[in-house]
Amino acid sequence: MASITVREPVDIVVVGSGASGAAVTWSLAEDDFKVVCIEQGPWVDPKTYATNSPDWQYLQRTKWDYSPNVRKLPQDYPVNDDESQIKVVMYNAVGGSTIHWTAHVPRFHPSDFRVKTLDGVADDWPISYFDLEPYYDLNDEMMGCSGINGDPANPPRSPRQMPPVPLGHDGERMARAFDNLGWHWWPSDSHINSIDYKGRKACNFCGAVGLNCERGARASTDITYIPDAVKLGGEIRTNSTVYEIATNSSGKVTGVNYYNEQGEPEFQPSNGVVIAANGIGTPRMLLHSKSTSHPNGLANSSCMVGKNLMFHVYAGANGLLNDLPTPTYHGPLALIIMSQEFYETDPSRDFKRGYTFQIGRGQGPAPTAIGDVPWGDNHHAEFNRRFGKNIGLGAIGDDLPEEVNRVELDPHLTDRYGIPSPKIIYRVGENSKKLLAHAVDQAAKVLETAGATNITRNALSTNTGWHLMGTARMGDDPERSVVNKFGQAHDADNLFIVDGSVFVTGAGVNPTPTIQALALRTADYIRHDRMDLKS
Amino acid sequence: MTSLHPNSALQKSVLDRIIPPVADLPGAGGLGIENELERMSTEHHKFSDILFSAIESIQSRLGEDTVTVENLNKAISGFESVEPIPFALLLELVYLAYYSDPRVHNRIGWKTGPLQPEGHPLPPWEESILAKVKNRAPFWTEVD
Ligand SMILES: Cc1cc2nc3c(=O)[nH]c(=O)nc-3n(C[C@H](O)[C@H](O)[C@H](O)COP(=O)(O)OP(=O)(O)OC[C@H]3O[C@@H](n4cnc5c(N)ncnc54)[C@H](O)[C@@H]3O)c2cc1C
Repeated sequence: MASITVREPVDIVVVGSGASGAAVTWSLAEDDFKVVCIEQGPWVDPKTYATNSPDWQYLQRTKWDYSPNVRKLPQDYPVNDDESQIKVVMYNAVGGSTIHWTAHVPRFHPSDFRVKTLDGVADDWPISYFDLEPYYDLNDEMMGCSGINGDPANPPRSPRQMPPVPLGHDGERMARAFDNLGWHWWPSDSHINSIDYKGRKACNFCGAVGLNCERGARASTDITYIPDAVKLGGEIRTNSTVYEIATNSSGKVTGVNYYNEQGEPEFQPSNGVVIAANGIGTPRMLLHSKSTSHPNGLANSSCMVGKNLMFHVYAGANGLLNDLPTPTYHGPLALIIMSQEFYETDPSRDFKRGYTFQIGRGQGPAPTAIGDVPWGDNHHAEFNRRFGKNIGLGAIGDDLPEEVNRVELDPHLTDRYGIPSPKIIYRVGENSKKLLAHAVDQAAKVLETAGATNITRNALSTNTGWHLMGTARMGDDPERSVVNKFGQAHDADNLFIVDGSVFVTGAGVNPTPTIQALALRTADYIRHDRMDLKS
Repeated sequence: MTSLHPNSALQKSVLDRIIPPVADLPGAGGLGIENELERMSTEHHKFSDILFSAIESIQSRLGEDTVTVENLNKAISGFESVEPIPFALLLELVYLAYYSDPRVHNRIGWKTGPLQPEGHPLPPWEESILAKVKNRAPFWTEVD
């Protein structure tokens, strides 16, 4: 092996520049920490986004696919998810998975932090909703939030930066269906611009939010936090893959070992390390960073690293809205409506916790045909019936943690540098099955009420592993958790974890605003209580 | 090395069976999308070889049978039930190539070209739609 180049020491290394890494890098740079964010992927030039190409449908299913196993870009590590009922998706580049996300940003409910006390399941978080609230607000300011205050299903919140993204004719129809059933609905908070915001343009409703746009209408951290962090002196070191967090004999971290852009090994010394590599990448790196002071892998004296993997469980129903004035592919793919009628635990049901309904729009011609339209004589009739009329109501369910659901290092599969790949072992739990069965029935009811035809039920969506949580959980007890309430490792006080790995439970909403709020809170802790890490 | 099958007549018939002609448009076999299929097969590993091996498999299922609609349906269905994953990939590839063609877009009323910069129109946000749900009392669970 070539000799290792040692770089100039810095205060903090952040590993990963996605939703959480970008937020932490910005916050630390703002307080003059010397911070370098090491990212295995490149910058993505917005001009190359698939939405700028007439070939977008093909790109969406090849090099812009959500799955790293399909894309196989140089920076993608393969994920062995053969033993997982839900398949993992993510993006590896500056901006991380926010390059692909649909930017729905509902918040956790206060009850989500107290599920043990309230419902006797899983564990309580060591923090409350109100500990996070100021960071949710700061994050909305940085990313830009469209929405409206006053939702009766959630605590009041500060005014949103922009009015809600318009609902469209299909959204209005669904909203009235919820109204007719007497069920809750509300425009979901969304990090999509409804008007121009901080130099980024308003959304023009092309539909393919997951493919991103050159307008910058949908926030991703490469165009929000990161440019601001760079202006403040933060460094983003791209195409650099961390393979080990280094530690000394007393167990403290001393920096990171990584392969640079040329594939050569380098060591970046630092006073502290923040890991933000997501709920799969983080346990992978911790498990791979074994040393004499951390023989089970870094920060793993509890043996909880990699355990308690949570996705969210998804199920629902699809139907056709035949009499709308405009096609259902007008507007962001994830329609800006949520219903939390069945969010909180109800003792009359046979499951604990609950779910949020979200709505998926129709898409362009090829995505409409693929998967749903048969080949042969009925092809055209079936295509015509669906195109521009399909609508899906999906439930995103609280997926309670179980130790058997986990991330391990694969004994055979590796990335391009020979670093072991993650192996995912996951099956849907009993509570989730009951929750989903309930959700599917209610989804069909809403679609019927909306006047939809051809309603079909979907008992479980499987290519939906986009929320990666729980694999380095937070807690007060070092024997049962990996980090404390500030995201600081119990086993190494200058190591911090800020991505979805630290979640104690997953709640029934998309996780990213909570991930980013936690990251900002950890950064604040370092800024105020760990001045010793600043040189 | 091409991804197309040397038996181009059979390939055309199979493609026409998957997406038959409609109105004034030929099916996927007659539309002239071979170059597109070839490009899509070679540009990304996901589809490499799929067209060739699918036609190969369908050909062997046909055996000495004449290429009639009925025999093709049987051979394609046989391939679909025995090798569902390659079959799904074949379908994905053919649908992608067919539904990327401007003539098809024209027929179904889809605007050809990139999604940006034009986007689509949506009626503006109207707060009055919240009238009913706004009247509901807060129902989130309060905790300490
Ligand atoms: C298709 C899709 C739709 C989504 N929609 C929503 C939504 O509507 N709402 C919502 O809340 N969430 C959504 N998500 C999830 C959201 O994108 C993630 O929750 C969020 O990005 C996670 O942030 P993170 O910082 O934990 O990880 P990521 O954003 O995944 O970033 C991790 C980064 O770490 C880098 N990295 C990993 N390992 C290494 C290494 N060894 N060395 C160097 N760098 C490394 C990766 O390259 C990556 O850039 C969606 C995700 C996808 C894929």
